[in-house]
Amino acid sequence: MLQTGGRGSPRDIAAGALFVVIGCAFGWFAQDHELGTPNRMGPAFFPTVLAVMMTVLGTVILVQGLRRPGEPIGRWPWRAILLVLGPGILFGLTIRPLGMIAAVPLLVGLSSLASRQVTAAGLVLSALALTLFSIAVFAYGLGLPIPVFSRLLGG
Amino acid sequence: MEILGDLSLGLSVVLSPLNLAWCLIGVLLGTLIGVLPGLGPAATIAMLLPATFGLPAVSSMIMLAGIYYGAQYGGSTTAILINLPGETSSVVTALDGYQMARKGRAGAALATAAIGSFVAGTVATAVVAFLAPPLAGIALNFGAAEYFALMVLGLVASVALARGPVLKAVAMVVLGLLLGTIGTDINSGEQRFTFDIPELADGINFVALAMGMFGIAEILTNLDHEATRKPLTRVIGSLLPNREECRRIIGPILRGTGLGSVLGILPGGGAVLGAFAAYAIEKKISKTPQAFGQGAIEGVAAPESANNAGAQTSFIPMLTLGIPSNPVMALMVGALTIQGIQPGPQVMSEQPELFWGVIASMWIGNLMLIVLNLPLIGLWVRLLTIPYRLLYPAILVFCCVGVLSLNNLTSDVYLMILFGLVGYVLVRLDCEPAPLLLGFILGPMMEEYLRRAMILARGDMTTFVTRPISLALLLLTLAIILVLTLPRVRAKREEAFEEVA
Repeated sequence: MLQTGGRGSPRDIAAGALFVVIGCAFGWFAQDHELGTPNRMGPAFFPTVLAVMMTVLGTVILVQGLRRPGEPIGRWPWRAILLVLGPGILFGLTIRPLGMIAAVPLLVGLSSLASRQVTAAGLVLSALALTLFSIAVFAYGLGLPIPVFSRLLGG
Repeated sequence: MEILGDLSLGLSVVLSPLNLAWCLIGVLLGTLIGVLPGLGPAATIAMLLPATFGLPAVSSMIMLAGIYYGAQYGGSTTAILINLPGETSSVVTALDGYQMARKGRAGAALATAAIGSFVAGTVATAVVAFLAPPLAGIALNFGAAEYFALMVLGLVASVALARGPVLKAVAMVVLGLLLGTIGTDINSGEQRFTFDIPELADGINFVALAMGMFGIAEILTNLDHEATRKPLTRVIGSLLPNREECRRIIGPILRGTGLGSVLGILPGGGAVLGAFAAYAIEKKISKTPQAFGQGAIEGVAAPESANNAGAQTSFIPMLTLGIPSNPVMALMVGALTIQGIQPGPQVMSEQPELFWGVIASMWIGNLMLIVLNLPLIGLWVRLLTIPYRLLYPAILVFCCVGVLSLNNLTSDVYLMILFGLVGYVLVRLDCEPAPLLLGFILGPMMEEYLRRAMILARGDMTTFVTRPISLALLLLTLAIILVLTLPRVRAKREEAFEEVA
């Protein structure tokens, strides 16, 4: 992680580098396709032009970032990142085999821990309320084709 | 007059019980999320997109539109009562509104905001009704080159109005355009950047991208500075402005409405810009500029009128040209596209019920807002006490279930989570996600128009500058770029965004 207090702007350097990498990646993979001519543009034409623009812009942002000072990126809130995104992925993994009746409380319970102000009562109550709400509204109310009960239980 | 006939057609659409109900739901939801800090209209509309697919196109547009302008009402309530703007567009309202509340005039400030919004909403509805048909008429004559030029203008203008550094905003637009190329190329049938993943063959799911960038990333941002709540102003005071205050708000409301209407139409415009500009102008022409920031009622009336007017007139480019001017409009375009309607000038002639129904619903919705909101202020205030730690798991559930219900693909859930992470990292690097979304929406259309224009011109690039309308649009784009790079304007722009932020 970049934590400089001196020269250069870490945010600009990181953003510029990121854009350069993305631009190069798109430019590289675009070459799998035909470029074509302006008259008959191939599938690679538009992405290649954009990839070049992206790389140039990224380079300019990067160079400017090296020259002028800026704020540091700061600390990453790992706890929030892991406890918000992790439960989201877990929801994707559990919704089919376990159904909403287990996947929603898992999602709510785990993600509630991301907040530093979490309370046990709040966690249990919101997990209960959101599970009932989701099943009532999404499955029965709107009739969305999302499994409610666990497939493992034969439901 | 033809326009009256059209408007009455629109009214007959809205006044059906079903559409009235959706309009009411929309404005109530809008007010609700406007009141709740940390949940904006873009995230809400993204979350609700899956739920709208079962509805008729008219009903879903009426509801989504209600959310957008309803949020402007709700945002001002929190700005005035606890100095915490629920929406970016009510940042300015907080300056004088909160000071009024501290002096026991919260009721008058809230009423002023509501009255100003209603006047603005009424005028803006008329502006949309009168301006949209001729604009759509012009656009019907647009060829591929003109459309391409128009999209370039729209994207550049969106950059001009984005917060944060210009270069990064441009890069975000390009990134959005690149993400839009992922999937099957419609001309050759070749799969671009899909790495043989079948779920990517139809391109990145727009809803997953929008929910991730706005819904999930916002949760991370908010958790990062989980704020301690500011004390609530319990004393609302008399709801009615006194006679002196009534006299003082007429001018600001009318000027704010006019300014907001004009700025809302511009590509890249919307509710925010008008509110900032209206406040600045009132301060400039006031005989007592030192009163601003100390609880001047003009400082509430003008921006509140302007943001509502701008929210509504920003529908004009979306409805007539199919060009979204801000992220909310981009989501509207997405909603229409998934309904099987290609937004553009033909919507007015081919789907008059949809077009005029949405316009008429704006006025009806504003009427509902003023009738409902003043009596309901107590309820909205109580909602503010919902702590964020209970709110964000709910947002997360709605996002996960919603995105899954779209195509019944768990891969969309993972994609949304991925874009949540990407969006958060980009925000931390001072890169605003709004331009990316506009680029993503416009990308496939831009490529298609570019390709068509090139075929028509036999590969001659000069086609864009030899066709007069296209040339004019590109010159306008160039002018915006030049103005943006002038150091003095750049400083002013940064100042304008930072002064009140």
